Parts: sequence; C-alpha cells; structure tokens
Amino acid sequence: MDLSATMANELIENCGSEKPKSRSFLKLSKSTSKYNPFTYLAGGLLFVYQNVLSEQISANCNFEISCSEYTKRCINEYGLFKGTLVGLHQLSCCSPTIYKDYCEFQISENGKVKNEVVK
Amino acid sequence: MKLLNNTALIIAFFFLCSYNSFGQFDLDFVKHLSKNQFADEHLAYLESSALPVDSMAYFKAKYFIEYENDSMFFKQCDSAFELLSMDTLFLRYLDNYFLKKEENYREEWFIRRNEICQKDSAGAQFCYHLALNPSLSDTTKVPTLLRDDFIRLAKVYKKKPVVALLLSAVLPGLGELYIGNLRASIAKFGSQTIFGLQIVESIYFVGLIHPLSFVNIGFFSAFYVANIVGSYRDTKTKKHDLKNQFFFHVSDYYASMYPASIY
Repeated sequence: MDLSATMANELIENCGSEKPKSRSFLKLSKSTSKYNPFTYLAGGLLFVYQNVLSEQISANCNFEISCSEYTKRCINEYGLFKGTLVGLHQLSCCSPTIYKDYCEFQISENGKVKNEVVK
Repeated sequence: MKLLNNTALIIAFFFLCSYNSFGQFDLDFVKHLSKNQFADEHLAYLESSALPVDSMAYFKAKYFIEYENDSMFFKQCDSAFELLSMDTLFLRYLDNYFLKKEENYREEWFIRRNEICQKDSAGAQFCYHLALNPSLSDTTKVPTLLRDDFIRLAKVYKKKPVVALLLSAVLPGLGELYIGNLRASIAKFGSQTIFGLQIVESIYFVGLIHPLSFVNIGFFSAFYVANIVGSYRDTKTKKHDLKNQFFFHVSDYYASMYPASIY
C-alpha cells in the first residue's frame, strides 16, 4: 500500500472518530421516573433536538457534555423536575466566554468546560 | 548413616536455594524494576523476599503508590508507620501525590500524616490545613506564588449558598455575581431580560389570555427557577473547585521547589 493510500485511510479513520456518538433515548434508572409520561415527552423532545435540529443549526456547545445531553443525563439522575432545572441552568450559562468563570483544570484541551452529572 | 547425611545435605541445599533470607534484599534491583515499570515482577520480588513485616509493608506501600493503588497503600500504611516517619523524601512525595487525588483519599492521607508527623509551619501539609478553613488573615503564611489562588479561595469560601439563592430570586444573575461568575451573571441576566421583554410584547399585542403569552411566561418561569437552583449549586461547586485548584497548584509548587521521589 503506498503512502497516499495509508494517509487516506488514516484520514478516514480520524474523520470517523470525530463523528458524534450515538444519541440514545432516555435510559431511566429510577422507578419513579419510569411511570411519568412527561419524562418521556421531555426525553423525546431532546432526542428530536439532538438528532434533527442541532445538526441543522450547527449547534456548538461550550461545555464538554452538551447542554441537551447534560439535561438528558440530569433527568436520568435526578428525575424530571430537578433534572430539567439543572439542565436549563447550564443552558442559560452557555456562552462563548463562560470558560473564564471556571478553574484552569476544568477547561479541556479543546477549550470546552468539563462538566459531569454528580451522583 | 551415609544416606541420611546425603539426604540432609540435599535438603539443606534446596533450603538455601529457595529461602532467600540468606541473600540480601537488593534495593537497586527494586529500583530497576520500578524504573522499567515491571509491575508483576516487582510485586513477586517483594513477596518472595523475606523482609520483616514493617519493611515489607513499607516497600509494598511504595509499590502501590507507584502504580496508583491508593486503597492498598492505606492497608500497608499502618504496618510501615515507623519507617514512613523516617523517610521524609517519600512523605513529601506523598503529600504532593495526595493533594491531586480525590477528596476522600486526600483526607485519609492527611489524617495519617498528622499521626506520622506533627504539623509543619510550612510545606504542603501546612497549606492543606490552611485551605480547610481559609481566611484572608492567613494570606501571608502562604508562598507568594500561591497567594492569588489562596485569596480567591478565601473570598469564595465565605459565600453562602442560601444568600446566592436569595439574590438570584431578587434579580436573575445577581447570585452568580455574588460568587464572582461575571460572565454567567451577564448571560443569565441577558436571557431573563429577553424572556421578560417577550412577555411584555406578547401581552401588549395579543393579550394575556393567549397561547403565545402562556409559552413566554412558561419559558421565563422555568429559566427563573432554574437560575435560582443553579446559583445555589454553583456556590457549592465553586468552593469545591477552587479548593481543588489550590491543592493542584500547591502540589505543583512543592514538587518543583523540593523535588521528591518514591525511592
């Protein structure tokens, strides 16, 4: 295999790794959330946003876990009410200069703010 | 009789070969294993060597620190208490190491550290105890390069989450401003202002009893409550994050000023 073919293969592999991860529907862990229809409604809206809308508007979140994904994880962890509020809080903070409010070790190499759902 | 003698000699020979307490423990060899990251061989060598209990625990503690197995390190720590107290270089390394670790391991180490060696008036251990209850009056006790971090921590440490919550309820973004998140406060105030103006506009043009007004009021209320909850949470997390950042910088500072190693 010549050099250009190797480079082309590497390029294809690298492009593949940059693709967004599969965005699944809610995976509810708490039994109380499983019987709330509004949880599924919120999950459905977020699912549609992530798979259809965000690509159309070229959404680029300033947090490492994007606001929609974070909201989804918060709903999984805290339930519909608190999860939505925590997600909305991140959404309202999401601005291009937000990294200046955070400590150095919370900024990732690509300049995004590291965030995680506290269990 | 001759057969018995031969058997005894053979047994003695195998005993000498297998039981290596008669051979010396080779520290250079351990250093070599450590340098080349031969983890399995390193542990096998330590376990096969017939060291006294405390020395064995001491070397195993070093081994577990090297391969970042903190829970196993603490198990060995008690037996190696005396040897650890004499190895100041390793203690210094451990201070720097645990300052960058999770909070529970960090706490556990510094409790043990106090038992091993009393509080210093300087050093990483001293900085750790200052940061547990930071106040601006202690600023001069901290090295110059760490002062900015310490002042920032001391300022935020006094802030109360309930006050941030109440301030956010009074004016969106004020709670974030209280804890020093200027950008977040501007973003929140801006978004809330836009939602508020949308409500005014929709009431002015279509009236209060209209789906558009309900949607706008719903958005405003949801973000308003989210900002109140968020300010409360942010105050708590900011304290935690600034403390972690201070510990990271303390660890880096002392590691560069007084280099320490495992062996």
